[in-house]
Amino acid sequence: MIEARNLTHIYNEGTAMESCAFTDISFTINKGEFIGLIGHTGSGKSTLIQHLNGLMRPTAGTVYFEGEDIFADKYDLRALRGKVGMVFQYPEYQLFDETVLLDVMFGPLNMGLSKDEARERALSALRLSGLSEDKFESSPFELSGGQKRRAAIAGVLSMEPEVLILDEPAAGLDPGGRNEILELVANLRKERNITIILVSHSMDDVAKYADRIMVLNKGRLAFFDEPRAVFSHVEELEEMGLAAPQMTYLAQKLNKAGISVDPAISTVEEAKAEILKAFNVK
Amino acid sequence: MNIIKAIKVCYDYVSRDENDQVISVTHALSDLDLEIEKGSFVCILGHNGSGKSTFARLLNGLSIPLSGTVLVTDIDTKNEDTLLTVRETAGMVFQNPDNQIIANVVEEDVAFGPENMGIPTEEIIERVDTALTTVSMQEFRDKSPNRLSGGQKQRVAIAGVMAMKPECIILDEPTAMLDPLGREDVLFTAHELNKNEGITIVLITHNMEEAVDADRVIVMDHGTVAMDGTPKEIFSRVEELRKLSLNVPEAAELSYELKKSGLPIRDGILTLDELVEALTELKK
Amino acid sequence: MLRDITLGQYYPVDSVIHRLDPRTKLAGTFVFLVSLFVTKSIYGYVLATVFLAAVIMMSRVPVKFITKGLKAIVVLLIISVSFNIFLTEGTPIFTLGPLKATWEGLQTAGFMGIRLIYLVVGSSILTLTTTPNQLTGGLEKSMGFLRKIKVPVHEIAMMMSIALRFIPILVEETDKIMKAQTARGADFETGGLVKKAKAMIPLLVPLFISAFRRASDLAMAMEARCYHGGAGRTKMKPLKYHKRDFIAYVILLLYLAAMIVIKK
Repeated sequence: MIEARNLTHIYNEGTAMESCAFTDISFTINKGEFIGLIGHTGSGKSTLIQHLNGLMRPTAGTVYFEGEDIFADKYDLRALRGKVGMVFQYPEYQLFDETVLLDVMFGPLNMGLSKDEARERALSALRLSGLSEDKFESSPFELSGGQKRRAAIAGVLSMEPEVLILDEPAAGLDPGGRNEILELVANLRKERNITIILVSHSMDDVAKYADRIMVLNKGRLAFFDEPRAVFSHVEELEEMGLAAPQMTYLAQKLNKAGISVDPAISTVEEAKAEILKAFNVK
Repeated sequence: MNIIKAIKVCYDYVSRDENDQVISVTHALSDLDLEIEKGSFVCILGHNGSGKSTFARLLNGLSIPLSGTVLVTDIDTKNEDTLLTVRETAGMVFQNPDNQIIANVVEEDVAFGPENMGIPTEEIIERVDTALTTVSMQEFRDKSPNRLSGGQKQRVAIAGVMAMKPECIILDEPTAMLDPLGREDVLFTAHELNKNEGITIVLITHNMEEAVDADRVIVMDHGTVAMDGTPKEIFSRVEELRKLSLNVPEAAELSYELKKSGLPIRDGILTLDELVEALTELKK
Repeated sequence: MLRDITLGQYYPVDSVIHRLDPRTKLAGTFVFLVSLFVTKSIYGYVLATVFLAAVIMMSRVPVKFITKGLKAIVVLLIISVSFNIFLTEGTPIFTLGPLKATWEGLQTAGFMGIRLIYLVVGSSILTLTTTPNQLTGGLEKSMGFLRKIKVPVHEIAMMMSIALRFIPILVEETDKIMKAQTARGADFETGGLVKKAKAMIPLLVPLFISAFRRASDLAMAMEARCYHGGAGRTKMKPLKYHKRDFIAYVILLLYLAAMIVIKK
């Protein structure tokens, strides 16, 4: 569905402050997949995702969306942005309109839909986001942090994108809020079959949801594989300043201590099942 | 000795419309009683809106309780004349690294507090020097804060408080906006200050892993203390924490789940190593 | 990245010019600017050039950084130079339709251009060799006499310094919000004036809200660190004149005197 071919981005090319965000990155993402994108600050991941909906232009290489080159001259980038939605970090800071509903209608209206259609889409997106109905007509600035976050995500969902890119959507929320937002994202994939690209610092979050994990390190694609395969490279991940999920460490330690479990587990549920098996508890 | 005493503290947020009519009143803190021992490392947990940040602001007189008393080294924060002493004693580090650095050069920002206190020049230079060394930021002293990473900015903010020679530092969700490396950095610094300088640390967070190494964990809910104890005691109460929209560290969660499924594993496990140890013993 | 804009920003090296008291540098810049307007003779410009070149060399700031500031005034420069060339009466060189270029015009334009360039270069040396904090500190101290007529000099200096700190942050934030709204299909580029102005609302509202939030956070952080206005405040780097400053003042006076003498 999305294919990046030999993408390279260099900041301030040809000046004294030239710096490379990433070089020669190629990958293909299939429809309906849940991709986790991991990398520490400065690994180039924020820059990379902005290429996928044409907010930034690559220095070399290009991106194909459904087979079409999005950086070709005639390509309609604005239409693309309706199909590839992007939720930035702390998206609540982009709220601006008088009411939550009007704000969520902003995207559909920009796509050229009529007011009624935009309203319909906004209402359905807001319901999907799990924001309670009585908040739809309030000012977005009166909402709590978690509610604002939902409203902002609804503001992108209302464009009914086929792909949704989220940059640290749970940052700054408390554990309850984190789980709710991540569950919401997982549900979007399950119920609407939206392709998800989730950018995160946290292996633990990504391990739970992603079909495949993309690891970016110093502007290069270090790994792009199923979680189990990626987490088997614990040492390499650590060298990159990324930790493997806690439970993967646990498996490692247990195996060393003579309790044999599957070394590639990554979530608490998996760990529980494996340990119970090792101890022959039914 | 207790450095901080909160006695029956109440605090409300009142929102008013254009005509000064009260629209709504939120009780941020209600009848909060809490004492914090000098030299301890205390972690305050709670979901968003539990009142923990409001409490932090009361501790150095940025807000004054509606009723009740907050004492910092036995000085009442209500007393305007001694307010500056309170602020010197209990320093604050805030959540957003960008919004608390005032100067355009690292060392000048660290000097901001002592300058306000009217410390003589030679001593300011000395204090800035020591503070920057303590947080390992000497090499950045003449750099612009805009060039630093989030974790480094927070360390500068901590140095800025350190230069005021406080007895207690309150960190209000200092890691919420940081990546894992920055988070580790800030936590390490806070623990070092506690261990080496004997400074009382009040760390407010909702990241459970950060509370594991604290001396004491206080869980707040609805503006009052919901749970209070050592990390071991608190994190064995998994169900209660979940109800308060909080997690437990994964190692604690797993041992709880294992126990529920009938594995006779011991209580009070917080880290992976403890879990491995307990399981090895069990295997024998 | 927008954070890397260097126009007029402090260039951290150690040099005599860097070490001068900011008040000396403020006075120096002022004298230099005045001298540019005093002189009308070619010798005056030669002297100003020598003076400027000497200061640049002593400052150890790469020329590349200094001339960067000129990019901002290129348009202004072209306009004012061509105005002078074509609109000054005198001996014609060539005509371009109704426009007539003159020798006198060329001369005034040349002086005008040099004056503008020197103006920008001269003031960027000030900002390149002086940290914003030193600069505001210098202004605060040199303008201290205004306090007698109830001008809140300290407060103004503090505001300037904070503004300097937050400009790059807000510029970056603008960029971020713009991208977020573009991702929601907003269009900031096409359309007429009214449409463009309207398109700014989704950018400006969040930007203002964020600026206010930052302001309130910062106020709290300052208060928490015992800020209570300028009264009783000490300084880590109090301004003190050194021998080099007195030498600099003498050189400045000599320079100004020379410029006045050869002003024709």
